[in-house]
Amino acid sequence: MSRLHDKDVTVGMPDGLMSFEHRRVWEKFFAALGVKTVSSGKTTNDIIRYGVSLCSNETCLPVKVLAGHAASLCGKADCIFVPRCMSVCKGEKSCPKLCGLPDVIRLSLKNKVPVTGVTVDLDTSVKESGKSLSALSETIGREKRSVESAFLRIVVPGLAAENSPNAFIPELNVEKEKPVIAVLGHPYMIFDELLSMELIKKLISAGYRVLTPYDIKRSVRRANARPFAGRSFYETGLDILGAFNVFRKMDIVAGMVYLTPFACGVDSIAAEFVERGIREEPRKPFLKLTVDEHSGESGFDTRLEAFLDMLPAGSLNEKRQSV
Amino acid sequence: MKLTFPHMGNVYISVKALLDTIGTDYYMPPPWSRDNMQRGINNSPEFMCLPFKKILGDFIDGLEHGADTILFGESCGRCRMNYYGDLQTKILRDMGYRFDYIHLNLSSLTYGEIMSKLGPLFKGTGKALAVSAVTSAVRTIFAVDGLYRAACFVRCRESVKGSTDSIMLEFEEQAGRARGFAETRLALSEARVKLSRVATDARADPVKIGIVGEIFMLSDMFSNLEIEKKLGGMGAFAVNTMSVSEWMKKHFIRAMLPVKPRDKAVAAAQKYMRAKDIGGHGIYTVGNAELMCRSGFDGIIQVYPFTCMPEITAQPALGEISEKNGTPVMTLILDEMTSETGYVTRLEAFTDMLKMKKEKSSAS
Amino acid sequence: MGIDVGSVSTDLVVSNGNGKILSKLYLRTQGRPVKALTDGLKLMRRELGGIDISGVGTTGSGRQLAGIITGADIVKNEITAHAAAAKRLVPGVRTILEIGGQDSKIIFLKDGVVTDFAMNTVCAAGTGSFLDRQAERLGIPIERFGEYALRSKNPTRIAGRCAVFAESDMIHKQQTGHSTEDIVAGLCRALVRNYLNNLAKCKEICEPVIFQGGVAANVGIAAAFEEALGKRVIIPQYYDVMGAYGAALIAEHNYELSGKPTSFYGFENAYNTFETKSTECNGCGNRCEVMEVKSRGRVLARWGDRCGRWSGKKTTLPAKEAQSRESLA
Repeated sequence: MSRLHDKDVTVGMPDGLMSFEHRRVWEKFFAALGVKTVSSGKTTNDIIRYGVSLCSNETCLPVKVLAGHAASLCGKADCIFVPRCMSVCKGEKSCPKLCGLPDVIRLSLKNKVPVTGVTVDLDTSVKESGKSLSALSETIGREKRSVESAFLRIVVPGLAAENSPNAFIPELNVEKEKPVIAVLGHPYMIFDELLSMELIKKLISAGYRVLTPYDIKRSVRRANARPFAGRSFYETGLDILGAFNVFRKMDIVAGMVYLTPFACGVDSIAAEFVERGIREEPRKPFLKLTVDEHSGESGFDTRLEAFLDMLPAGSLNEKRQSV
Repeated sequence: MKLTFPHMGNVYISVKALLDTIGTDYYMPPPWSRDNMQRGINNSPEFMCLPFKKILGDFIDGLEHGADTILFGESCGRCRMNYYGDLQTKILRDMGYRFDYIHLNLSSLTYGEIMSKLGPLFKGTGKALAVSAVTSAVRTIFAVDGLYRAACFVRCRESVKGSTDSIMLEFEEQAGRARGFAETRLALSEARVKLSRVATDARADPVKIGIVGEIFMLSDMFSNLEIEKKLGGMGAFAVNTMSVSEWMKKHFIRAMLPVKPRDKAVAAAQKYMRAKDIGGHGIYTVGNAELMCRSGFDGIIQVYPFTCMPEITAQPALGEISEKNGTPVMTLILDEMTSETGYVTRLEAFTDMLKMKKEKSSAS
Repeated sequence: MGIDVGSVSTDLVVSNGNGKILSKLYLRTQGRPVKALTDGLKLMRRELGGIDISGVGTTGSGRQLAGIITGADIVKNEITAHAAAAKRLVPGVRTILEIGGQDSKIIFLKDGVVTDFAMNTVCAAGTGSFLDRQAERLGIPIERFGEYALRSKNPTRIAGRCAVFAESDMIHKQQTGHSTEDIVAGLCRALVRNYLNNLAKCKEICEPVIFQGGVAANVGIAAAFEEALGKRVIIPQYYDVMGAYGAALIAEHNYELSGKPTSFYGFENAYNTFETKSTECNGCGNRCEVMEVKSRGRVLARWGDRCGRWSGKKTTLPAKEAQSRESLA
């Protein structure tokens, strides 16, 4: 690997928001370039508290949490990597908050640590990334050509991969005969144990199997993303709507839980279509859980328990007896 | 066919004149209606932004009054406004209404697009007349915005409080009664003359406040609780950066230019937000705030509806702009719960603060 | 004289030209601002006799109404009024924390000029009314609330974006056996945390810091502020009537500048009957809430209408509207 300078740069990878979902892709990218990365690890209460104190009140919980992750990397990394993810493929858009994300994080951290990002706008053109890739090549001390080729080889196909880069924990889903609860929501909400208040674990220990949008192939999600199928819409919105329209027709799905951060813009549209759609499926109970930094776990659990009691009485008991 | 359309600030004055000229049957919801707003709120998702709720309310009112066709424009950007139509038609159809939906794609708005989408409206109208009517409508939008800008200039300098407001109220009434472009133009020119005759205090040196933010809220006085009028009444010169005519310049006129000029505001924003687009007009919020601070404005007010994604993204940059330039910035977030009393108190306190700061700096 | 008509309390102060308060009154508004105001004026007259008032300033959410009824010389918003009072009592003050009955504010000053402020009226969890309610629920008098908080060794963590959630979390903590002292201290901390998160985020809090408003009487909250900020918090002498005091100072300043005699109607005017009425105008779909103040059959003022039909902003009235205007009057 050709190097521009000898300094070994460590890149900090805050484990939140889109860097959460696309983390494996970016980690592969940096590994291919021989650049050391350090992850901020799992979300902790301190990270949330710190993030909340850094950001404006108006922004959503996931952005606040990402700021907390980024801040926790201060001193551990030479720069913090926050991609500017405008779109990951043709006909998709990211939430506006992701388009300004590196700036928002930089401003929230008061310029304490350099924030570096790669602009990804594949809806417009792969060329949009050019400038930011050359800036990155300077920062990490790798030749521009190798950075570009790693980007084209690993990141471009990886971000819109058919099988989610954030592949679901398979060992938790071994018992195929159990009834399924579909968990809908953004990946950085449903897979974050703290933000989701261990929703998936709780459902599994209650005796259910869990499916998420990321267990369905991307092309299938896109084809079913009514009313936006084949049209431009927010990436996570397409994931959720596509998955919802698949799950609603699956008999094994006993009910659905939609986890949404308080005042989420994408969900104000996606969740509304889901809620209107689920009304046509009277046999599938539905629960929408809204969380923010103030949510108490006791209220969350009460709602979840009440929801599980709503499920067709037979769905779990029969299966239990048969096992 | 009976058409209805939603309100966005003063644009109704032009749309009405256009529809009257080409002889389309239409129903226009009242420009100021809390009733309609409430109906919109009742049928919208909670975390949807206020413009969606207000527009939905206007649609419901229109359909209740026998309209069978809705005219609405969207583009394909990052702001939720581009997906309003999908959800609004779903909500309205679930409510049992039947209607046609004419969807204008505004990001590629050209004469060709207008003529093809609005074909049904122009039935029986000669092409020449239709083109001239659309041109007049665009001109009227610019003239109306110009009048409101002039009113802001006069209001904060008037010797007798309320003189500007009564002229503008009369104008709104007269323009509301007007049928066609000739009468609308007459109302406009009369108001312009009256404004120029308002007695003003020649020594007045009002504090200058730039208003940035979400375009629907800024151009719709009902939604922004008449921020221009309120600030003017407190003796502050309000300069609103967003209006329908600004928007037309950006999307409609720019789209027709063969060579696109560099946008000053986008360039000014790069110091804080290194992106061409953060959805909606977020990047303009940042850029305009920076430009206005540099040109000596006393203060900046950002206005946006609760949960607005682009403006929330722009907000942290405003804090930095304020610090770097030493210009106070205040953010006002509006939703259906906003109390007008608290809103006025904030505007008053902000204006007071700027006045004291100005007095102090001119004294020293 | 300064008058602060808020949604929870109505305060009146009379100060002399040196900024010393001669008399102060604190009355509960109880949803009837006119009664609280006229009662206050009568009490003030009884207390001070034939004192000569040279200027009147009003503030608070009912400032407009109070201005009309008293004939005030100047009507000011409460942020400017609070800042005026604070910088008089603590010269050089940089940060003002204010928690009242129904809202809370933070004001930043530099060299005697307000540089920034924030106001919170959305979240009831950061206000005096919320504390009153919780004191009642816990069965301790609000006056002793602070003392309970100070006795706690291990404050409970209470979560909640707003009053409703904080209350339900508090009940939950009560049921799980936390002591009253710990819950009270937890509430104080939660209130301060909410306050700082909502109003003071990303802002530098410089000393001197002063804490005013009705809640400043609560030593528990003051201690929680000192702990959270790591700074000394000063409670000024007239902490409970700072709005009214500020309004009086602004009226004084106004009098010095203009030299005009006051337009105050006098204390006797309080013995007149005032009727206030709020009518929903049916002129259009906007249904403005029109406020009207009448005294002895005469309309003193009307406001709240957008179109100017009632407030008389409009210069010409179409015949039909003029007629309906008569019928409302």
